[in-house]
Amino acid sequence: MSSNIINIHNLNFSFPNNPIFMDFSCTFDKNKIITIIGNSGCGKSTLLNLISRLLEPASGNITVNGSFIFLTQHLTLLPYHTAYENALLACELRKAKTKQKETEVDDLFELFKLFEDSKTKFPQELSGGMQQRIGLIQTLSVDAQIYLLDEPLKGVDRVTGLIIQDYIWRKFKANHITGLIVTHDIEQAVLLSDKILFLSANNPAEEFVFDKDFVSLPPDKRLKTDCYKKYMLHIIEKLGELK
Amino acid sequence: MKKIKNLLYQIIPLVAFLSLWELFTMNSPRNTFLFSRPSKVIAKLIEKISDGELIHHFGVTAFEAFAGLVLGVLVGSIIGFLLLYFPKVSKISKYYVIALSSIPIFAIAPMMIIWFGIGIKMKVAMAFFSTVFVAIFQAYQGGQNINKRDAEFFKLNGASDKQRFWKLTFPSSIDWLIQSLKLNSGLAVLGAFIGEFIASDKGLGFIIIRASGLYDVSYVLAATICIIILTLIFNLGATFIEKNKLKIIRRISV
Repeated sequence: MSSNIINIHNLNFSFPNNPIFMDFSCTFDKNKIITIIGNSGCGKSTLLNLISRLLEPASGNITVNGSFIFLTQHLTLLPYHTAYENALLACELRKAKTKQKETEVDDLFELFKLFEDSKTKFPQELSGGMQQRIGLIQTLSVDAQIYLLDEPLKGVDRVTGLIIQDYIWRKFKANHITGLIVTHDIEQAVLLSDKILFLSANNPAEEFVFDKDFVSLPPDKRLKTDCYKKYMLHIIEKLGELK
Repeated sequence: MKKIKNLLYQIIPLVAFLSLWELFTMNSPRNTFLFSRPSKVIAKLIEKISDGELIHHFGVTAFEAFAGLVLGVLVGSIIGFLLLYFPKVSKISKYYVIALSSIPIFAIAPMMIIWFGIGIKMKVAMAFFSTVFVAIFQAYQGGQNINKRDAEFFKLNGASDKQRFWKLTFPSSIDWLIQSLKLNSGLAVLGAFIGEFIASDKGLGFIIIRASGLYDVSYVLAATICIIILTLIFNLGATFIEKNKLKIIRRISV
């Protein structure tokens, strides 16, 4: 058995007059958290859309060996469902809404600093950051082997963001989950991932792997290490070199 | 305070119009014969309401229009939503629906008599055909109104057709359905009225035909006021539904 959970081979994809991937190949290891970073328009979100089959490649092969859930940049929060009902929506559609899931969602509301009274509010009554957290709970409460997260902490304040990153890391590691996270936030990439994938338009992807010792630490511990700053600087430099 | 002020502004043109009308006809039997007079119309209204005649005929027209409206909006909405699931059929049928909806309801009235006789059934059918096409359009347009990304979310999460319809399509098109009800409340009354106008022995249309035959302009106008009131009642019903749409949708969709 190969340890690759996602294989991309000779992928070609372009938007009208805008080639994104040309003979692009890469693989993603099982049980690893990978953040995908790169400059705007380099195809980060497109890659997740292709993996989830929301977009069809012009040619090439994408194989996904496992169940997945995808948090897109567009949050699906139904206007006539309360925040709490929306948080359970993905579970409900997958016919996996159980008492246990409800408790899990209850706990996540508390952990993500969404207060009790926000449960009965409708999405349009919530701030952007709160909506994003509801979307996250919606995604994280589903059982899957692969989590595709596109800008998961968009609009979330830093303190809560750290709590959420910590939760994501522990959940993924405890349940052997593969995570593909698209982000613009370099700190998030350093704190959360085992590996960084740098994307730049029409070029092969470059990988950056952290030290083993660093990778074994959860985000809140990583923040306190000496090499945290070193990694941050390294990645900023690297991003600057990308076309 | 502001509300009262607004109400006052709204009433002023009506009062002015009625006063001028009253003055214009007060001392002229000829003008009174041709145009009647507000005080006479009101007197007629009170007289015919208290002897029960207008109430009876109002009830008949109200029933016909209401039955036609409910049937038309229900059947039309179902057809409109079904068309969403059969894009090929909807592509073909689009022009047929447009063509059929352009038929003036007057033109099919004689046919309705042949099909349904001259009783209440025929008026319900008239109201039905007056409303069903608008209802098809509204439901079809409303159903297309769903967010593409939300539809993708439902697909990615393996939602069933039933979940997709009740949680996404129906709530997204609720405003279109309410609009359909509002537009159709006038059309349903018109359809029932035309049905009565052509052949009937009861209803407001019948009253108007009979009263105009007798040159009783006051009664014609009194019955016309009843028609206006009926349409307003239907519209108020639609507004009530609109105000409670959150509750209604949550009962159906959550």
